[in-house]
Amino acid sequence: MLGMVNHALQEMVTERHGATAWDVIRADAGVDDRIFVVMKQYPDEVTYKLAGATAKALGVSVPDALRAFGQFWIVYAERQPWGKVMHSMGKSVRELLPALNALHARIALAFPGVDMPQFRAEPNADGSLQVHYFSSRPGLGPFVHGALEGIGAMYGEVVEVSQLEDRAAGAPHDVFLVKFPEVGS
Amino acid sequence: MNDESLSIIQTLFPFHVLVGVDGGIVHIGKSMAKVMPDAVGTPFLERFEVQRPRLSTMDEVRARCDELVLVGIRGTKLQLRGQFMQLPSGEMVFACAPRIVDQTSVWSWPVGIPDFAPHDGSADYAMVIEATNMQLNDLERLVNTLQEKERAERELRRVAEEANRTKTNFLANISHEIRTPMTAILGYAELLRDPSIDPTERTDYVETIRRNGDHLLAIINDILDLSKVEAGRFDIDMSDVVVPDVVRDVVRLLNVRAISQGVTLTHVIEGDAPRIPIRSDPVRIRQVLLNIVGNAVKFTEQGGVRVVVSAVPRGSRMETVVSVHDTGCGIPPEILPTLFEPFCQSDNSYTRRHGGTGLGLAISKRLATLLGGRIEVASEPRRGSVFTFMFESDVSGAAPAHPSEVEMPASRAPRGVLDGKHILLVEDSIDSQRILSALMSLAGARVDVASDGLSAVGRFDGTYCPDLVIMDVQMPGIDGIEATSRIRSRGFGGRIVALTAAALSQDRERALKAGCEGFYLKPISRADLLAICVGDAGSL
Repeated sequence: MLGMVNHALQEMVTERHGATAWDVIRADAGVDDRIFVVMKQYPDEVTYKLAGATAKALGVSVPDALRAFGQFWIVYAERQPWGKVMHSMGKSVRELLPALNALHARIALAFPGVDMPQFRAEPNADGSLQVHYFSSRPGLGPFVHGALEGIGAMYGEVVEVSQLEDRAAGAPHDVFLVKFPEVGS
Repeated sequence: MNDESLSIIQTLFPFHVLVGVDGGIVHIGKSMAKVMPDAVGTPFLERFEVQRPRLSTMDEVRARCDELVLVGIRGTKLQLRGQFMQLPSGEMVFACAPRIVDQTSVWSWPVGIPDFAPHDGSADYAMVIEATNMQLNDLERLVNTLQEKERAERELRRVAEEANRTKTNFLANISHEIRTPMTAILGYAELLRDPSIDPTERTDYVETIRRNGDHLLAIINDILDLSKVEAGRFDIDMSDVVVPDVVRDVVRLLNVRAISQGVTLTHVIEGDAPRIPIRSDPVRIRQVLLNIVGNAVKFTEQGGVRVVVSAVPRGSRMETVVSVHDTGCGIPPEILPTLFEPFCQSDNSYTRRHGGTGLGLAISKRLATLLGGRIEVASEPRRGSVFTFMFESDVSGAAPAHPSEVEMPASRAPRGVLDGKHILLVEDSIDSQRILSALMSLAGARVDVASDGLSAVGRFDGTYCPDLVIMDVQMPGIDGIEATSRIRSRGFGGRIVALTAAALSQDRERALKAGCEGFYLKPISRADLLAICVGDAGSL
């Protein structure tokens, strides 16, 4: 996983709960790195341990912590140079979600060795979107759930995200339904 | 160009420009349309400039088909890179994509990543540029972290050096403060060895030695208090307190000095709230007040000192404020910031003239903090000062106290107070044996003396049963704590109290654990010794 993921988690905890909370989480996770280099590859295990320790420290379940982290991930990404890239991908949730896979494909091509997830967004007749998420990494469905909500917040749009298929429950991959209640969909 | 061909060109090159035989723009790609929506129908060379190779006519362009060319959009800094292709119809297609030079050029185009053809590597380049930006930001973050760490380390070093300097100054001051009375004590003791001095001088010398001894003891006690507070070992002993009673006690105590200086000392209790009992430590409140009221009296040569007590209940809490107003010499503004530091007095000559250890305010400030409060000072040289001691505490729940007269405790025990008492003094120092046994005998006690722990223990054979054992702690052989333990194991149930020069709290705990009922510090005054003997003195 790229260091930016761990750095984003660190930023979320530090901004909301203070630097001491992060030190506690890092110690509990047994992670020695005080600083994460954003474009360096770290073992996935580091991120999983940090996410688990964060959930424990905040007194929430791991899926809940991951969902909150997914929401924050978009906040974090938007204030990085990637924010301009994201906005160039689309001016609304409806424009961005179909381009999500292209964005990740570009990154994967530009940075060989980076294991990027894949997406497929399919429009429904009622105007909602089904977002299919494919990843070599297990257990990150709640993170994507939160990220989809975060994208809605980034554009100032009201979206309702629900999970239709859950890989953790045996489905081949995660599928999310993104609805836009303000247009009656 | 037919529709099928145009569709293929459109898919492969969304930024393409189709130029007619006459050099006019016939069609532009959907992504290019976002950049220049009004291009169709205008001459190509009017809207574009072929910059590399530099070509100025369509014939020249036609002659350089299939070469890599760089084309600028006139009126902008935007550039396209691509190639011209000659079609059988005579038309030309400029198949191109935006040229991305650096991070600032990427997003100056009114297009986004989806406007690039999937095969177009230019968009990947845009990603790499943004990743480079991110890495630059990251580098800046890492450098800031390092600089912050360096700053923190420098600050720590500065604080450590400052603390070291303060400690050195403190030790130098302590050394000076101790040496001054010590010099007098040793000097006058030396003079006393002269047998020819007359009795009046002798009495005078002894009085000087005693006065300097008292001063030395006050300094040592203050240093111990200060070090205990700073080490966090100062215990706050909570009980019900009626602050006005403590204030009245302090005022009464200091009134003697005020009267002797010709200064008035009064106190005012504002309203009924101060009389509501609170939970706090009366001993420490008294210590703080003795210091700040004592200072006020000490440094006031004309006029008076007024102590005002007020209190504001806040639910189950009470904020108590005691302000001490004096018409004394005041404190120079440059001294105020360090007033609560050890050994800081506005004028050293005052110390000499008025006495004091120079530690009182430092201790008081720390005690005030321990009591959940603070001390503030406002002062004007030659006009006077106001010291305000304010602290918050819980309201006790006991009934409000009525104004009461607090009797001063008797300072001296009368001769004969120990009549009939049988006391064992365990003490290895001959001088201490002599003084302590003399003082107790003069008060009527029968005193046995044991010079070490073993001989003391040996006395307890089952029949030996003094009323009190006064036990020194540090002695050769077995110490006083071990001796106490052994005496207790022999079944002695009477009082044993420790009397020691070691003022450390762990000694006290060890002594109490071994079976001592009290723990007292040397040197000890006659009154305190007799109070211990009759069981009427508060232990440490």
